Amino acid sequence: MKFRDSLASALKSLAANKLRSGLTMLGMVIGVAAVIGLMSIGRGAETMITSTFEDLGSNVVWVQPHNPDAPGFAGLSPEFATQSLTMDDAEALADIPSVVAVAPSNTNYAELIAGNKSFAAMIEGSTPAVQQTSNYTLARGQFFTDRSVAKRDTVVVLGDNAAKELFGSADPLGERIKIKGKRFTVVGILESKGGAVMGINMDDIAIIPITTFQTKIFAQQTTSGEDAVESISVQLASSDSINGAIEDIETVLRKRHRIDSDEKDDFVIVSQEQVSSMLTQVTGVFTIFLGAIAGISLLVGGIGIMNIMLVSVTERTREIGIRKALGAKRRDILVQFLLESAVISLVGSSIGIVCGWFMSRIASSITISGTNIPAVVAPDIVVLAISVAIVIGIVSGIYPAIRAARLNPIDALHYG
Amino acid sequence: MSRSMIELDKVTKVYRMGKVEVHALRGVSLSVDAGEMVSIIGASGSGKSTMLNVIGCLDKPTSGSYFFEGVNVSQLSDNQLAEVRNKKIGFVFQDFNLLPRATALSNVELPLIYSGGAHNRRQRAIDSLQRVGLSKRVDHKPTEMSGGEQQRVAIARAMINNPPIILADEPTGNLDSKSSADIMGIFHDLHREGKTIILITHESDIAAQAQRIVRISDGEIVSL
Repeated sequence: MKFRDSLASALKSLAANKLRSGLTMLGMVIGVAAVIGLMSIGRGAETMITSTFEDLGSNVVWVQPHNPDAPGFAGLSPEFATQSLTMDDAEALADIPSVVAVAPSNTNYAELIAGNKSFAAMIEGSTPAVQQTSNYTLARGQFFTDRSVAKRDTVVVLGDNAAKELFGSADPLGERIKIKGKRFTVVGILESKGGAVMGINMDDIAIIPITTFQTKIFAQQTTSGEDAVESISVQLASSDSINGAIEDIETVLRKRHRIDSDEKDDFVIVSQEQVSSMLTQVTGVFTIFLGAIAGISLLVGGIGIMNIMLVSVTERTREIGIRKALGAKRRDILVQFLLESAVISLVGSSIGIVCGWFMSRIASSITISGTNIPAVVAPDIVVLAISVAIVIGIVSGIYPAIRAARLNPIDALHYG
Repeated sequence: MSRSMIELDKVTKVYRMGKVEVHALRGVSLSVDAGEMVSIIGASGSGKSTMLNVIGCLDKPTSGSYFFEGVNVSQLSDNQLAEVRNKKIGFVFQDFNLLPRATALSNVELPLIYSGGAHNRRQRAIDSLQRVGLSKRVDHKPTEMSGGEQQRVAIARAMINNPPIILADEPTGNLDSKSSADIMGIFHDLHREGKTIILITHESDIAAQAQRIVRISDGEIVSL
């Protein structure tokens, strides 16, 4: 029997039972659409996280206080961490040869007030070097200078969204705003960064000199009475020098903090790669998890195909008998029924791909609090979904087809 | 010695129905020459249908031997049996056994699909339908035709591969006397053309139209 004839008779019998074929197909459509849609959204989340971390600045490591006696991550929490870093530490790190820029940074939340408008923003106290380490670009005005840091000036650089919320379309440059009762002059506006890191919108920010932050806004001292620094961002010349630089930073800080060789560090050094690879790993697991859940619905779709094909074989026992009496070989019957399930799963998964693509398009067009997931239907996801669908289609079709092929022609002829 | 077209030698057939063994055929020996028209007559349950299944290569004998055109059927594989059914035997059944959703044309074409490589399939099917006088029913489905017409479609289907032998199992069992006469007329025509016809029936007036009557009872031939 020619393949074309087998296909024709498979299509004919599918067309004879349109509603049933359609419903069986629907199981496949939903399964494939779920796999493609959910996995592309998961993949989009991975891309989003990676790219926002790249936005934070490249070749950057962060130094943060750490309580060596606290268990695990608790050592990083402000409750446990002793304030161990100072401005002098930051300056000392700048002397390491592979270091390009060092920006100490303290952050906290406060309300910005301009006239009768107010806006809750993240206040970052830092130095002009933060432009480099955090990839801040000025849209208008200028950044405060090192001199302003030294003089503890009350000047502020506003994030794009903070400026819009407070001043609307008016020009904020030179205007005054209040932070915790202190008057600040707006000297610059940042370009919009878009996106958010860990739920913090990078455009909702207000940057002031770190010395001003430490003395006038949120005072915080180390045990020795110096002004404390919460975090030091260190930018390195190239990504090759990261491991060496981490060792250098450790040596410098241990020496400055007078830590004996048998004692643990009172700080931690985290590289951007570490953080982003950890997050990518987490979202990768998340993607696989989503895919697996969607895979279950694909499996259910496959069971639906098998179920319908078994019913169909029973219903068409007589037809099989007639075909056999007229000279159909086992293989002919096998191929005919296998093709029916193959067509169901193939057409079903094709429609599923289109639906999954729509799902990911809809997902990537939604922006929630500045966060947008750039869901993209990657070819490997489509290939994966289709191969799983084909395998399921064949596996679920093969048993009923074998049952049909094995029917004894006489029994089949006299059935029903 | 030249062999006959069909040679059954002490053929037995035992079916197992649960724990009970049913001896459908108990040592049947029969030979049919090419070009003969033979009736096999017997009451229901006498084993005549089993005999037709064996002759039609739908079933293998439990013991004994069956030679079809000199070939021992017991030694053929399932695929070879399918080929014999396809090319050498035309089946006509009591309840027609047409595919209900297919047109007369598609039903008649069916054996050609399984013999592979047949060109002008459609034309051959139309010709075959024409021979049984159904050229106007080509696109009708079995449900749109009378019993006599359906049986004529079945005969057209049996003839499409031009097999040397026609096996008919109670071909007039479900038909009125007018249609029965038409159908028997077609069989007589085919016989005149040189086809071997084996007719299974329980109606003696139908059986009497053959050259030879084989009477079967309780799985044994009682008269040749």
